[in-house]
Amino acid sequence: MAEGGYGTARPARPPAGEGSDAAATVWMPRRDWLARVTWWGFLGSLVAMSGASLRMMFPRVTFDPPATFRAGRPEEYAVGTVSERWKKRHRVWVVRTAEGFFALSAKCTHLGCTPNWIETEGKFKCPCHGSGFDPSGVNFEGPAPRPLERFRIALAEDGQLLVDRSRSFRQEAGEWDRPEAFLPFAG
Amino acid sequence: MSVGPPLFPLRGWTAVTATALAVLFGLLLVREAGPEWRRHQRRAIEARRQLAERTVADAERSLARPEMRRRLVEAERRLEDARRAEHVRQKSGEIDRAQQRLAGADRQFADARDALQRTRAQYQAVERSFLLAKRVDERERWRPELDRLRAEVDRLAVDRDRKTAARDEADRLVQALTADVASAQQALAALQDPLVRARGELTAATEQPTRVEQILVDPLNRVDRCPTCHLASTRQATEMNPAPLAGHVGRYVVDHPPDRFGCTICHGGQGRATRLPPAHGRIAYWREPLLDRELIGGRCAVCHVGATVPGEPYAARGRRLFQEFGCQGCHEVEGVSTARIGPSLAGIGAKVGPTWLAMWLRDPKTYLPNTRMPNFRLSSQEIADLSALLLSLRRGDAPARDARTSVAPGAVKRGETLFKASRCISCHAINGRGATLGPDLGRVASKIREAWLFEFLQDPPRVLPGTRMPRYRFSGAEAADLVAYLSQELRDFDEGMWPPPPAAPDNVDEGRRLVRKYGCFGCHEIPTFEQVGKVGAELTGYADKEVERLDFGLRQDVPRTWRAWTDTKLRDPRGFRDTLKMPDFQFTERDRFSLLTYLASLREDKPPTEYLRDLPPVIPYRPEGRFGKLVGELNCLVCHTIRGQGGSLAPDLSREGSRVRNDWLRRFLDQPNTIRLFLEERMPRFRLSRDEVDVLATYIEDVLVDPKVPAIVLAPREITADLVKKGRDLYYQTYACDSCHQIGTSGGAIGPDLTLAAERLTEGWIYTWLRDSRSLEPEAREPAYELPDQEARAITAFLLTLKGQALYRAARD
Amino acid sequence: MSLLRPSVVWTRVKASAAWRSLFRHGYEDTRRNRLLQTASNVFLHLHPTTTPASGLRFSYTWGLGGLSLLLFVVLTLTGVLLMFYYVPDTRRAFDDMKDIEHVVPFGQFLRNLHRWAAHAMVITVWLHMLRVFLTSSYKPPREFNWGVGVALLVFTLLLSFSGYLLPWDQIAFWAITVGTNMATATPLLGAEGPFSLVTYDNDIRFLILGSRFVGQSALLRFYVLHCLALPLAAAVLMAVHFWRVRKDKFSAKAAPPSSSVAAEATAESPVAAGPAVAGNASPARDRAAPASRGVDVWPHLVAIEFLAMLVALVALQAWSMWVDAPLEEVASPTNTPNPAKAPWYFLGLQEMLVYFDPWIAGVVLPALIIVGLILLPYLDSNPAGVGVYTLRRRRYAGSVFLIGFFLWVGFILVGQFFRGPGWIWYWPWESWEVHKPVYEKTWNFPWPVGLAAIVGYVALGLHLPRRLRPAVFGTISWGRYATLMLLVLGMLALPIKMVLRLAFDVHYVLVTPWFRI
Repeated sequence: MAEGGYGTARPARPPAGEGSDAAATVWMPRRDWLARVTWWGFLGSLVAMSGASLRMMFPRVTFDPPATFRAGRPEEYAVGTVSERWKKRHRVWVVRTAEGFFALSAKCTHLGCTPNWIETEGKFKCPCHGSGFDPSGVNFEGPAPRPLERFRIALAEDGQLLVDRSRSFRQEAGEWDRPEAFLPFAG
Repeated sequence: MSVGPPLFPLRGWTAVTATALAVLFGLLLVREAGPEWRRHQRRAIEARRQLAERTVADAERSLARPEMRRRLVEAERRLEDARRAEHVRQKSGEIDRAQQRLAGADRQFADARDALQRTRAQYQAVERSFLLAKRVDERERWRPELDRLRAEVDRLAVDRDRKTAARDEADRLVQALTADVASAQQALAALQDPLVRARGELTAATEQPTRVEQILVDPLNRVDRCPTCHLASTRQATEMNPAPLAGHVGRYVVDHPPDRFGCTICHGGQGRATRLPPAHGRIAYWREPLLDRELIGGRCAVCHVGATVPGEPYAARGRRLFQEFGCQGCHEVEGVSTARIGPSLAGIGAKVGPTWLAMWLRDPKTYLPNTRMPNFRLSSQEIADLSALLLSLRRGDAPARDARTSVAPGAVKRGETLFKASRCISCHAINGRGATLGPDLGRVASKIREAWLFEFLQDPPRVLPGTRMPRYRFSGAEAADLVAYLSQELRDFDEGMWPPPPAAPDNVDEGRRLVRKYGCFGCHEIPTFEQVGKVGAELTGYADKEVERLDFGLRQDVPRTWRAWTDTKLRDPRGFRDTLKMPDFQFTERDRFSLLTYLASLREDKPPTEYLRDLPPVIPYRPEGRFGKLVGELNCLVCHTIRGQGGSLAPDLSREGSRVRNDWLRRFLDQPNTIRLFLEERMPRFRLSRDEVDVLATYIEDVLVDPKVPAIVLAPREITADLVKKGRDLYYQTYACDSCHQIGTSGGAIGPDLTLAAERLTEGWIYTWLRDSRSLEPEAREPAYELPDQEARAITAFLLTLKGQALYRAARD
Repeated sequence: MSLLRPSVVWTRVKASAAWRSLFRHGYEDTRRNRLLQTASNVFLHLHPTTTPASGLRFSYTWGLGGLSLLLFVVLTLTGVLLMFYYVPDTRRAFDDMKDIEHVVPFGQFLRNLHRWAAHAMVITVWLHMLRVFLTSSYKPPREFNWGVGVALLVFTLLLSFSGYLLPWDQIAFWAITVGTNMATATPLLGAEGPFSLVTYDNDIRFLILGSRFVGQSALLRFYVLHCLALPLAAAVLMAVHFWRVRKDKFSAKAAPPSSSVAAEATAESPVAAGPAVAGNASPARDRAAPASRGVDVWPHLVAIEFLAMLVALVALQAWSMWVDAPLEEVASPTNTPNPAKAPWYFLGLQEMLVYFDPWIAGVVLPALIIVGLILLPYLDSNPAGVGVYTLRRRRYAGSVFLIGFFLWVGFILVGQFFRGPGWIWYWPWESWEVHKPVYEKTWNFPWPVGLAAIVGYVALGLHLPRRLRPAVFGTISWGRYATLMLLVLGMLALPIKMVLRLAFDVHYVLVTPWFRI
């Protein structure tokens, strides 16, 4: 027998017409606004608590090394050269052609080793499995399936080159044509 | 059926608390969503956006100007034309054909390259077998194959090169056909570039996210989040930026890149904090609060340990004052030399009289207004006791005469002449006029006993060890004359009015106790007190001294900060407590501030060595051998500098051997003369023997040289009349050297007389000076002309022949 | 369309096998559902399905046990979240605290919550112990559970102590230094204790710190204890404790005298909790009369517990939002603050150091306290008062316990508010800037006098109660009696020593070459 669930209320019946099967419906006591307030309040707190806990897991800063670095002034790079200046520290080659600059990722697209630039042969050669890439980064020999990736390159406000390793561009997806993948620079 | 107790209040309260809990959480979420720094950032970003909008508007306006419109239209027309031409070429199939040719050339190149690679790989494999073959006959079996493959590789390499060239050619052709369009596009883009960039900046400013900005400086072990609120502080301020976007003043962030230095290393504050007040560090339990702007100069001196700090005069001045006032005599500071700045008191009992001593101890400035000795505010009893002790300090050998026995006739006059000829005024002022290297002699006879003076003038280092006065080699008669002159003329004629010494009974032991208490041995060498430790607090790391460890004593009115305490201490050293001993230096406000800045640079943690600048040389220069002995005896380094050691009153002799001709040097050492007309001081005459001159001159000629100054520049036959004339024209007309230098009786008076330049300076020096004077003397007043070689040679020739070729030749031989 | 009406969907969901596998009974308010709600839920089945109406009275237990559990859960949850941002490395622990405060969203709030919940838990477990004592709920058959509770008390203090070090600031470093220095004074096992068998490199303090000084190894050790070992052990003990509470019928009000005898005789047999209707003891009748069965735990008791939880959370939350947990400057081994104080719950021990040497104040007395607490149920032979607040019927036990309790609390208050630099007495309004000079002229008893005094004290203490109150003290065995009196004498030694010291400037009662009392 359904009783006043919280003791004080008069025994109440589920409102008629709500459904044919009385036992199957959710029964709420008549003076239910108090209960609703309670439950919504409590549930709200629980939700807020979970939300806060989740938000807490995203710190406002990280201590990763910065992905963007300044690579010196354009004048420091000779036209038609591949510069290994940043290879060790940032794993990037800065290449200057007659048209401008691009930054190649020194990460072989086969299995991730660091290739070497062989000046005499004019190519990048990976020592792990022999993948070869031409000076623009396109693979032409060995097991590498696709060209080297290029990083975003731009001119910083103080005139230095700015390489951003957090944005990379793939030639096979046509991304090398994007303006951030190549920095036109004349003279 | 169970009926529980009445529960209504329960339900009510439950509802209330559940709501309260939810409300509190809501408040918490709201509070966390809007941290303070976001507001600041939003303002800065908004200002940036507004600036960008204005720039865009400006760019648009400038493009709308008639002149620009015309150029735009022209550029567009050019582009149109180029496009049309290309279209024509396109239609005629020229471009297609060229591109096909390029594709073909590309393919051929790729094939050639692949063939080369393959063959090269084969060659390398065979080569490997060849090299690893154990026996000769095996090896020989490989040789034919090896040779064949090598030839093949060479051939293919040539082929590849040819194909590369062909491909490049084809590529150039295609470029040529499409170049016009490309360049027209570029021209148009160049015109529109300011607008494009401004628009880009506007987009960036509109999309800039708010986030915590952080600088990680690992070598200094700091994390600085100051840019979170001070968004633009990591860039240099330019006048274009309005206030919230204002960058950092001066060139500091350019010279000290933020990613290497951060912010707090110079400014103080709590870098890891992201809200006020913790971020500025002016809270309990944070030891490094944000510095007052004036004290930041002290931080410069932490890394710039050299004598000067660029752009920050007070720290360097403070460092200098600290040593000049002799602070290190009582206060130990790591790295500061502990040389005593005051004269030795070893023989003072024989040197001065009790009246003067009492007057001096009461207030040194009454005798010598610019003395460095501070006022110890001694009581009469203390003065009596100290005088008793000091007057008992006599050196082993008592002076020969206690008083003037007889004065030879004319002694005063002779003494006066000798006094002037010896140029005592080069170091000693007379009543305030003159140099301050030595004590003021205006009233010396009232202070110093004649007998002592007599001995001193003849052999200063023996009578007063460590004195800077050189040995003039006065004879006994000369010394007597000088003493007679000094006694008569250089005394205080009111010395009768000097207060008598205190009459209280005195006690030498008490005097010793006072010396120990006040630490007189910090500045003066005193017998039996040579090894006693310093009496003041150690100041190493003073800048980081916690406020809780500063004794404010009985003063309630001083704010509880490091700066206030230090400033008050410098102002009134004994103001905090009665038992303090530090004397009163009567610093000026400027001195006080300089010292304060210097003290603010004495930090406990030293920066990593790669951050230090202008380190002093590790091993100071010491002249060796007989030269060194002479230099010590004559005290040359009081006025001259050699290799970073010495005074700045006279020229730097580090390269004197390359600079002056040796015969001139010898003559000069024998009889110093003036080379500049308006020079106030002149080198005294030391009466050196021939042997001594020889020692000095040889050392200078052999050791103190500059390798980049050549000995000979012009061969004799090169000094033609033409060259000399050319030099003369350059001297008088082109460069108007006579506006500063004299030749003969005409010319300016700013630079040295060049009439006898050939006699004095080496030709290599003259030539090098004309080519690049800054490399020889960075602080010269002569403008750096940096003459080309021919001109320098011409002027050198001219100067060398000023008195005619004959003189030159004679001097040369 | 009619198929998608909410009520229809709802009905079908609830009829599905998936739903029924999760929820084995309905939610409608039927008796059956209420009982099942309690009995078939792992968290709630700690409760019986019904409870006498008296069991609902909040002012009986004040919910302190449950509150302690709630705080433990809050501490665990907040602790786990804090662990994502804290590394127990002395070079970065303090910086991590600053980062939690400034760059972790809700970091400051979380830290506050953790710290205030910890302090609150120490307080609630003490009050819980006091309540259990006052309602005699440690008497048979509940003696063992009381012991488990004492163990939990010790674990709570250790958890708080080990966590105290983790911020690695001056408060933390010096509090733990003070606390562990007391361990060096342990007799036999401490390097500075009487009859020491060990050196500084292998004494008990070295064991605790992993080194001779508080440093990296201490930090790591305390971190592991605080986050892993102690919570696990405490959780296990809590399981035992709750099981026992449940099985022994909670904080039962006293059954009428007849059933209390039965309770003593059959400690394990289920004794009916006091029925609502007085005087009705027969189990059979309990089952028969529904009215005497009590009220359903669900929802009545659970509703009260829910409200208690909400109130506690609201208070904790509000406090944590507006009062920040303290963090001073980074720990500096060379820079001792004056005064250096132990955590507040150990200030009582630190205050005792004024009157006794460390080996007594820091080792022997605390050990006696713990031992005494554990033995309390076995030493208290008075069966009266179970289930009611009364002191009149148990004067001796009451006075002994309360004296001890208020001494403890009083000493903490003194140590917190009345002790300044040099551990000199400072009134709360006196400034600590001016250090009072330390001046003490004390004297010691000559050793024969001291020895006689101690022997006499013990002898009198053992002799007099039995002599003066044979009815109370003559009825228990000698072993029990001696143990009881020795513990009481040990406790009373403290106020006696205080009087000797404060009134007569006596420093030591007994001085020997090996130890001093």
